[in-house]
Amino acid sequence: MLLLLRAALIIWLYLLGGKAVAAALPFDFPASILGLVALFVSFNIGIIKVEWVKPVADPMLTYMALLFIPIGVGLINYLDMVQTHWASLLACIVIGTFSVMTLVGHLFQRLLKVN
Amino acid sequence: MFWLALPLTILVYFGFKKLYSRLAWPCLNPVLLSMLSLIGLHLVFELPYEPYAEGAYPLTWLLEPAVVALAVPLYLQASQIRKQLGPILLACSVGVTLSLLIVIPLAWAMGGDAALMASLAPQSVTTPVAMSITDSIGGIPALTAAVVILVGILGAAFGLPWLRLVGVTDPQAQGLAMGCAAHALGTARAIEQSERHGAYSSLALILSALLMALIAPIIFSLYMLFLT
Repeated sequence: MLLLLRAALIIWLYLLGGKAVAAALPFDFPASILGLVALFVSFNIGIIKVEWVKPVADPMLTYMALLFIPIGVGLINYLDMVQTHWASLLACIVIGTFSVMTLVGHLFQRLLKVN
Repeated sequence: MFWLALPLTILVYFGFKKLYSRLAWPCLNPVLLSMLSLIGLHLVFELPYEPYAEGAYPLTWLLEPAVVALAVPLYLQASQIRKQLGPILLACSVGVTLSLLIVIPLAWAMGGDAALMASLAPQSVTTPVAMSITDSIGGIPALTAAVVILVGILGAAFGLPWLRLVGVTDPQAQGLAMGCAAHALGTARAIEQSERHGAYSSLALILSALLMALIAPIIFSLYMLFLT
């Protein structure tokens, strides 16, 4: 129980830190990603041990996909806009996503083989 | 809907997860089906979204700490990643640039105006970054929010089978492609696959957001010069 509490506390503190930095930045950047980077740096310089965070991080990441569902349901608020522009949206989303995926995947796979 | 929101979302998700584990068809992606069935439920009973959103807020609240927790797979794979920083940066820069070079002209060719082109331009990166880019280049942030989620759902549900189909078999390349094209939703799917997929996807999620914020305004203003 204490181990869970410690893990949750560390993650939460890094998120709060990320929020403080994000508020001070002159442009918008997600606080959570700043917290991620800060935690990653802390692991590397050894202030935080990865085992301290794992008890909460592991189950959280296992079910991360579930956490997106309520936001996705929020699409119902945008149905008008989606209906108006559906053809452009469909084309951009489908063609854009699959081309980027194909190119990045192949390029990186080839770069790995060359190295 | 307020009190039902949380248990219903969890129940629906685990139900579809069970179905998916039996059949493993990509179009049965549990997140995709959960969203669709809950949207359907709201439409059929003409329910407003807000009570559901408030009831399910504990899940939404956990999203930010979950992104922070992505530092764990990233760290566990760091020794390998460190040697590949150059190729990783190159692949993500090319991916972000290509996304802009495809999406903006495509939106234009489909008859979109400047606001629509601006709203779609940053579609492949995580919501807060995408919305602020849209805002700064004159788009509609709410439309961007919807598009970003749709991109994420599509990438999460069909990304891995698509990558296998086109011959991308390396787990590192698959992870990087998922994070670059489908941001945090793609990463959530990648981490289900393996720690290595998750680490590369997390890295691509971060780098693509940064690169998009740098590149999108430049490419967008160049387009506007040419197209108008």
